[in-house]
Amino acid sequence: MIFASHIFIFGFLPLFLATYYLAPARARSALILLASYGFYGWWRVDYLGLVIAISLVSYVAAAAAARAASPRARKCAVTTGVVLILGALGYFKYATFVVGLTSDLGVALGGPGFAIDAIILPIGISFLSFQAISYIIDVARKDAPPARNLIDYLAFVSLFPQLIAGPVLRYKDLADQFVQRTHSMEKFGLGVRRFVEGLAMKLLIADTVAPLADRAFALTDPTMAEAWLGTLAYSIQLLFDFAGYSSMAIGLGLMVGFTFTENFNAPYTSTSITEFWRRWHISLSAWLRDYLYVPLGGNRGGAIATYRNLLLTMVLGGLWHGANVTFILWGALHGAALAVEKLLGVRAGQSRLPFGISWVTTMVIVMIGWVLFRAPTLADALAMYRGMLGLNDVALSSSFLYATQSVELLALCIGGTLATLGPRLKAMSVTPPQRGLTTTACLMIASTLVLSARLNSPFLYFQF
Amino acid sequence: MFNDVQNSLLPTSFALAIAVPAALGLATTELPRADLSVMSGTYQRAYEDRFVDGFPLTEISREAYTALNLALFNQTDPEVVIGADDWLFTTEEFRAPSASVDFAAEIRATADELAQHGIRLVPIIIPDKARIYADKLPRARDAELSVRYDAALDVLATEGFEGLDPATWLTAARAEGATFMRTDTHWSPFGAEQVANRISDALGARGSLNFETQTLAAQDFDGDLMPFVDTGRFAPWVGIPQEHVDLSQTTKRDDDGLGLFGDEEIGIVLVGTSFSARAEFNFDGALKAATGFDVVNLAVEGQGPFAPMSEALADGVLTEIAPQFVIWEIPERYIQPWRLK
Repeated sequence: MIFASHIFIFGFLPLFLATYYLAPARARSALILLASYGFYGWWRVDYLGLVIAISLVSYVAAAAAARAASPRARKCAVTTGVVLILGALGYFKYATFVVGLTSDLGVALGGPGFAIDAIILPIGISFLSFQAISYIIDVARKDAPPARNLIDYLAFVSLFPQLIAGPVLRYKDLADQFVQRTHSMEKFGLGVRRFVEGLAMKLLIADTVAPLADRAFALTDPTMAEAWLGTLAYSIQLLFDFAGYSSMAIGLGLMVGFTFTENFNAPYTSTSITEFWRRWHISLSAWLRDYLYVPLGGNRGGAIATYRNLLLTMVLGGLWHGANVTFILWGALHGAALAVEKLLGVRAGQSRLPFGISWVTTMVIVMIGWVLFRAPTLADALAMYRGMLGLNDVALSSSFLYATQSVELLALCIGGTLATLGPRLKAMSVTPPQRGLTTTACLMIASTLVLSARLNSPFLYFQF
Repeated sequence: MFNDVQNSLLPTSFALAIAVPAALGLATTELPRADLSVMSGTYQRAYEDRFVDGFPLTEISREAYTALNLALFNQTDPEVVIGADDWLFTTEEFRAPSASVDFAAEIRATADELAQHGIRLVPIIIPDKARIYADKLPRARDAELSVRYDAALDVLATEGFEGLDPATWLTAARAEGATFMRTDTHWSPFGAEQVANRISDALGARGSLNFETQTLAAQDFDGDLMPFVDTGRFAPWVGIPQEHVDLSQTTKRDDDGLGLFGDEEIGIVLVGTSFSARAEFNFDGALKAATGFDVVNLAVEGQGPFAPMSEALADGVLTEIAPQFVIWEIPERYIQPWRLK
């Protein structure tokens, strides 16, 4: 089930909220668990078994690690749990990719090619795996206490607001909230506001500019203007799609008393790639830092080892997004940029160059990376790069102009303005409560209108 | 106290806004067939589809969104271009076709195969509406699309076909009436008749049958592009005006002679697309009236011009009928522009 759908907003959500607030406090974790399984099972019930299996493996492994009598036994429990979870992730997400690469290599060496049947990628498995792994490691490191009971833990892992596309939550951040959390009209109202803002980001901006990006990326020989316009459109689409989803998740959490960590903080205002990763998909950046970069040695082994660890972390982070060489190269691009900035002594928010130059440079690198992120194949990405370099033609073609809708350009302008000037605009405005209510109501009406008019609104991050 | 009311206003409004449609939707949505699988999610998809179909705001939202776009931008959908005086064009005429077909090779192979059975192929390129009514467009099309029609005629000339040029005929006939429908991708009955008359002149043969064409009363006509600009209940304030069509019907005269045992000689088989298949435009009727031949219409809607011809050749229907002529109606927009270079 997706948030931006009729069945969620006008079916699941009101039913869940009514039941939740009618239920006694002690039954609410169990209710969240049931609702979350219903939410996931709406896609396919058969794959719910995988969610439960990963949850149980991490619960048992963490419990074994917490009770381990020796460091070796603890390590054994952690390794077993992590390997089992990564094994499931590897099978469902990477088996086809690895078999394909192996087959291609075999053919290149003169052997026969081979293939396996297509494997359905269970939605949300990447986020689920990361949360489960972080729980095992946090408990083993004694950063977090083991879950109070199995129901609380299962409810945490499958918590429907963040089950499918994050933010990547950590049990230690929510453990106390499962024991005790507050509910108030004010908190609920804030949740409504965040949810509606996220819905509007998704439906009014991301989905409106999406056709513009799709058309540009479908061109075999885009002109310079088409390639840059398409990349810009995708940059705005991705931000508003994913940040919109995160905002909805945070809003839904607030409606039932949870406070989730923020996942985005105006990433397109960054003046370095280092700063960008402090602002983009913050929960993933933090996860990669704590559970990959630091265990690899972080910056403790000298300059060369630091650059290697940065590169490796980002390449693996890229691979996490999808089994495709384009994601690996996207990760490598960001890893290399981070390493170079480390070498130059760049710190987040402290650029050595004038603001304009460092901002433009950062955004160009980010956009070049998004081409790899969006293109289905490396060949498609290279076609886009040829266009960006002006190797085909320069101006927008007449056919592209005929297909382009003014509403797409309007959404692109609004999205671009909010993405780059949003924080400043917000700082300048003082919003009285009644105006906030009016804004929320207008956004809700506009979103419902657009949702009903278009009827189909999948989230980009579902594929990860 | 004031703050309490203030704080509860948004949650209460939101709760009502989602609860009322939910109560209506959940109460009125019928359950799907029980044999659909819950495990694989097909049951859930079916229920969701029904839920959305019954959602009270779906229709009015779609109409309002279209009306808003039309009023603000004079655009409604990437699949339609709105030109001057409410002339609509399909965007298929503004981009290369998705299917890649070697036009020259197709023409050559078809002509050769038919010639083996003594049948003459008469390919007719139907020009884009955007070519005949270019003056209604806000800007010129891409250069490769502009030259596509002439390049297609060059291919036909190279392959030895007589130079039939419907673009010139349809453009000239605009002085007497609209040769394309305003809200539809296709030609008007008048445009179809003009082309049929010119083809008849070019065939160099005339059949012995007599047909008469009756003009029926003008009727309301919703072109195939109207669904993209449908503003529904907002149409009185913002919308594309409906157009009318003068339908016609062609029938054989009763006194016309038949062959022995009532069999008729079929002079023409018509193969093509919706230009020929749709009864409103009466192209086959106009051909009958103009040529005096009976016409078997094998045109098919929605498959482009190449698939119906391949099918007709493959199942042997053309050689079985053995007409004198096979008229192959090929809309320009199905021809790859750069393959003609």
